[in-house]
Amino acid sequence: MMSVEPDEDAALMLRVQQGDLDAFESLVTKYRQPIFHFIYRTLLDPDETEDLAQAVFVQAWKAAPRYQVRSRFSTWLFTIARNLCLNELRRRGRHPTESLDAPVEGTDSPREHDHLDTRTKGVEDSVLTHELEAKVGEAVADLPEAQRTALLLFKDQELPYEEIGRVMGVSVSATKSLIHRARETLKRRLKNYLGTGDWTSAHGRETLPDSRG
Amino acid sequence: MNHDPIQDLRDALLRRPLTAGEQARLAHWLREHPAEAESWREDESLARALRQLPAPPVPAPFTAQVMAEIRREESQRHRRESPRRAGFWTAWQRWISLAAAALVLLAAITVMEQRRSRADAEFARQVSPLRFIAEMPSGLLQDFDAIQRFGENPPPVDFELLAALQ
Repeated sequence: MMSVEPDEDAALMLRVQQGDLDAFESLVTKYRQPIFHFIYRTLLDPDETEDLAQAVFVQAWKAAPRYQVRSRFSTWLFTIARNLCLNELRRRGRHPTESLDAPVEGTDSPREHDHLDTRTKGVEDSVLTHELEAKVGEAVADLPEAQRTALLLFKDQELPYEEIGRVMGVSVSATKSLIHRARETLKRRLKNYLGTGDWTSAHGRETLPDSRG
Repeated sequence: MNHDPIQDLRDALLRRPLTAGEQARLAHWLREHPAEAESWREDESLARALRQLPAPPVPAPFTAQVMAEIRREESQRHRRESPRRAGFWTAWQRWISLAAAALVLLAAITVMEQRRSRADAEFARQVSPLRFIAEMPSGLLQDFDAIQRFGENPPPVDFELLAALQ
């Protein structure tokens, strides 16, 4: 994922503060994918993601004079991204999503896949993978905002606990707690999918170490 | 907060597959806690599912669009600030004009005052020889007008008297 190079980013931001558009373009190029990913996993709306990601960078440009080198650029940028996501979520209100356990129209429940003809295995894997990805994505998007943000910044952006805490305005221990709770919430909500083995059959399984030695 | 001794491994698992060393630690821990195997299996499955969530593709012109938007914003900002700047300079120019006019007026007044001063001094210098008049006793000048008139209108020449005297 993204490698954090605070010195390089800070140097670029100092140039941005002098009005250097090329320096800012370098930062946009470097952070567009992480920001896009973060917003997409929060909103699950590709169109809205593009608009909001653009707004994040425009906002960052406008706020550049207030950027202080003592904070990491990535922390500062994700703080802007999180605030804009929160504004968007407040604006639209959260619509309750369908239950993960309810069968989706046009798709099969995980258990029913056990009986499909093995000749359609390739197609089945593809559909299954798509369905599982959708379910996991929905489950992530349905997490409470703080849990989701902490999890995404930890998992995808690989920010250290301290930086995640700064983005969210909470302590390191609170950050760890949020990540732990996010993981437990997801395990509970996706239990039917995680336990079937369908996911692992579709993606190839990382073997559990042999506990018998 | 959960102080699970394999918490670090659970966190690491969210980001990447465990290394051989971490797998060994996990195997050791699971041998001592066989009841945790199922929970760990779920953790492993969840972590894999999360890691394999596809990253949404960023549209190719995204950076260009962002930079175009920023240039547009900058252009608008300049346009907004230009009239303000012009207003600022107009105000300054007005004040400078007023100050210049006041200076010219002040200079003119000063020159006029100096000229009047010089004229007064010249007049004083010219009349200074007559200062003794003011110092004369008041009675001395009571017939001044009559005496003055002798000088101004000499009496007509009495030729008959003049001839007789001759």
